[in-house]
Amino acid sequence: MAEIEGFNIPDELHYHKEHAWVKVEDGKARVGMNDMFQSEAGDIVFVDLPEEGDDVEAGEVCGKIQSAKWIGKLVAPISGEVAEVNEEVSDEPGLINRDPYGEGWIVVIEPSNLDDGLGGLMQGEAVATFIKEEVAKAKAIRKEGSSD
Amino acid sequence: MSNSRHIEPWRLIGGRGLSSAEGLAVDEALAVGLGRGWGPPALHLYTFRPAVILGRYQDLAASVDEGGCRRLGFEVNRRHTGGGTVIMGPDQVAVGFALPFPHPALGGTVASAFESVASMTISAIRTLGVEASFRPKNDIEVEGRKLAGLSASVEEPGVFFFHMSLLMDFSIPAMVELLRIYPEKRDKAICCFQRRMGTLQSESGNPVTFDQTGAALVSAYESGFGVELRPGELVEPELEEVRRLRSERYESDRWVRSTRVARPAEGVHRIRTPGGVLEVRVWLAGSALERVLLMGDFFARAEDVNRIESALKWIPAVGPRIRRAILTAVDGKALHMVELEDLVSAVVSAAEKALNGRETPSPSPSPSMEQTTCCSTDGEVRP
Repeated sequence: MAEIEGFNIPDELHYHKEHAWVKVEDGKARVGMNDMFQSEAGDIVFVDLPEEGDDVEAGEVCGKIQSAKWIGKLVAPISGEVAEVNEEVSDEPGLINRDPYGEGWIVVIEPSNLDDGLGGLMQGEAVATFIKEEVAKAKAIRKEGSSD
Repeated sequence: MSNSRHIEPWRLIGGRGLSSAEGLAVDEALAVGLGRGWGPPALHLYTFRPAVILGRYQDLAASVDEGGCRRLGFEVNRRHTGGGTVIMGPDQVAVGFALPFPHPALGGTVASAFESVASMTISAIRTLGVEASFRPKNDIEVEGRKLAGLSASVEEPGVFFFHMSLLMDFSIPAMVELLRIYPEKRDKAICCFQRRMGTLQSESGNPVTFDQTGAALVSAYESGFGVELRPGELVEPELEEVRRLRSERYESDRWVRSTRVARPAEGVHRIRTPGGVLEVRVWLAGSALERVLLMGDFFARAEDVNRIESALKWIPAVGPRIRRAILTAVDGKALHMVELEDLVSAVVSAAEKALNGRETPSPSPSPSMEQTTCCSTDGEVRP
């Protein structure tokens, strides 16, 4: 388990730049959204998820979330077919906030090519650098805005 | 703002009396277009033909009285942004703003973007003589009365899309016929919502026109973003997208009557307190509170009641969150002789009843509720 800029970013997972995580289980990819995503979103009140059997493409929108009053997107981290959908999260979207790496998982994807898929994701130092950059970017923008 | 740099003007797209399909399709096409680089950012400032417009994931049957809409000649549609149902027409200003994100004036997070646009909007409203302020999560209010509802989406890459309905004037009697609201008795409902809603006209005491309101908004956004908003048009790919969205989405029953919605549920709980009867009615969307109404014959300022109701919107319907929302919204004396902890328990019980009622649906109102007065709030706390 690693803490980066106050966010819990477990070492053993693979991360996409749109904030999804992947955990490899028996050749399949369990997918959820990371702690930074859920924290920025605030209370997630509705999820619009893909269905079992849907094809998803890495980097493409595969679902939506509604948080308070705004709508955001869930971007697939890896290409393949949706093998399983977390119905519990449909009933209780707050699980994504409370337990983003556990009960708040979103889908399981049967990857079209696992190795290629993982090749496009970040792990270890790369994800730490990425999160730090994202936080720095948001801070810099705020500063630029307020100094004008 | 960064006036030292030369910035291309953004577009100002006007419109009056648009059909709900046209207005909403233009809004979404501007967001798509900005994400794909078809055209510069754009402010769509317009009015609708009379229409009831649902939030993206709201249940139509639970929110709208379609018979009432037909009788009064209101269209029914669904927008692509979140939030609750709004009633639109010639007296409500519609804003759809496709903004580049992140942007220095918006900050780097969705929350900061929301508050930035809200604060520019408030400065515009103040120039019209109305002392408005931001009420978290997403309303603009005057002393507890809601004046504008805001919602947003961040679906297109690099785009923050902002939606707003701003009331110049508003008919509460019409609202009572158009929406499924409580209290069901007309005069009670009217009284109840009169204390919860304001308009530019009623708050300023002057007639307010669309042109006047629009000019105030344009000027506030121009200075907030440091750009010129120049009257413009949609570009060809955007027009093509409007046509596609109209036929595939906003003129399609599959979209308007979507079943991909947060499951609705309603619950009520009533307690006797030393300060009087307190009735709490909650509406859930999925597992979140969408709306809460506090009624009874206790005394409190309307502003405090509205503040509590707002703080409870869009939070998970669980005890600790309900408690935190109430205790941070007002101080312990806000309701005369009603302990806030009793209020917390009543809201939790109403939410539990709503969740349980979903398993075994039953008609909720009991006959004794007829005795309940509409809404308590007589303006002043009794000494």
